[in-house]
Amino acid sequence: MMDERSYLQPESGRKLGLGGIKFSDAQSRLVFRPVGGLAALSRILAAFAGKRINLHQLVFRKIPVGGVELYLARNAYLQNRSLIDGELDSHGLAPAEVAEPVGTLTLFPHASSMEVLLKVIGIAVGSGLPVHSMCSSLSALCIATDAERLDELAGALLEVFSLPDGHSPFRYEQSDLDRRLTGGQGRIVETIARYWEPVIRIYGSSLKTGLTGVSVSADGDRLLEVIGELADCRIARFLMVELTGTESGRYSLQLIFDPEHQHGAAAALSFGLERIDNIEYYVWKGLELLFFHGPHFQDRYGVMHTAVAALSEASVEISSAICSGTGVHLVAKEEAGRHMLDVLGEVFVVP
Amino acid sequence: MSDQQLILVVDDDTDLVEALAMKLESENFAVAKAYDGVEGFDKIKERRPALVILDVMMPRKDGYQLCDELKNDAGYKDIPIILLTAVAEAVNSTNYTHMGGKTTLADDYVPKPIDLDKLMEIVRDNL
Repeated sequence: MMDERSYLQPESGRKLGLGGIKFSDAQSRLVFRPVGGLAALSRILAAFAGKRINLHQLVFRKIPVGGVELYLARNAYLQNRSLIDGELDSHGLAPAEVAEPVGTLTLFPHASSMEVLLKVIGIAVGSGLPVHSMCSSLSALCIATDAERLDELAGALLEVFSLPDGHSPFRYEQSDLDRRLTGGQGRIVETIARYWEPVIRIYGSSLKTGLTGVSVSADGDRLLEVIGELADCRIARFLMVELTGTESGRYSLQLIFDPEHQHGAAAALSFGLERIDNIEYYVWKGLELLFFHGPHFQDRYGVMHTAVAALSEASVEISSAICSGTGVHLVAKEEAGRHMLDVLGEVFVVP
Repeated sequence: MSDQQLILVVDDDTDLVEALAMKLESENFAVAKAYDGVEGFDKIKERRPALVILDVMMPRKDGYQLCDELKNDAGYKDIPIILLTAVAEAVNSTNYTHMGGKTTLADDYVPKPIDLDKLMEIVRDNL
């Protein structure tokens, strides 16, 4: 059942083209709330890094309520649950919610297109399927839902998006090399727990300043109105997005874009959001976004812990963070970006 | 632009494909993208690239297999292939060794994490 708002429909009957869709294996979703700052986040991440457990996705935010949401392989969580719980308990921490099995649907490439993003949010939220979260990486949008609902979610998206002929299958299929190296059992992961670097190698980083961000808390129907207002603002590109659904049926959305080529967009957006009842929203200006990425971050435990621990020790405050795909996005207020870059330059290196 | 050389990037790491594409496009190359070896071969049949940047570990069809198929095909054997490998001197692995113990006919290799400037040098050297 797809929402019939016009901005969700394929224009002139033409579907938007994507490169592909992938489903993850079964995952566990852990939510920690409230989490006040980086010191608490660092302790949470230490529990997983210390056990050499890879995190596939992580979101940290301070508004509207400080919280951390992370995803890991279900088998890894279930096999290590008592150890993880024990480690967290020693710091007075415990997840507020645990959901499993969940799965993430990754669609790519988004090309930073606001049109693609708004359609994906609208379809996912309007589908009636559980949407635990959605966040962006450099190339992809990752949507978490219940593991057994992934095909339904893909079906809803493919009413508006198309895939090329011969596209990769949604679920992992072994290659000959996989079969040879694993004896036909499972899949070889190139770098899982194989990097033993004193300083983590990355591909590169970028710092953008003077950005505009909008944070919204709303129920599903109101969120779809928010999406409509965003569509009306005609913002062409987004830089980062994260969306979290709660058990109460409310969603928390954070979206960052560069206002440089979108004069008046922030004001127009504020004006539009003001007209929607029963939402909380903030429009931020002067935000700074640091992005860095590296090989197989999802397979390499400890990346976020390394970044967060360094920032916490240096008393750098960030507003939010996403680790998704092979990249990390860190959001800070005005003039904090350079400090973030300097601190992280001590623990990450571009070879 | 008709005078742009086409580079095909094949990797199941979609973020890396995007990063490589941005770098190549900034260097005035046209870029085609594929996310496993089967898609890669389809793209090559669709439009012949000047060069292929090819990951090794991919689902469905890995980079070794695609490389073998192209280098043993009279119609495609002259397309330069640069293999991307996650195995480098700082990585210790007992499951995955460089080239998996087999030889390939690839024209060059680049270890991950990729030095983009070094990659561009290799691309230009092989065109």
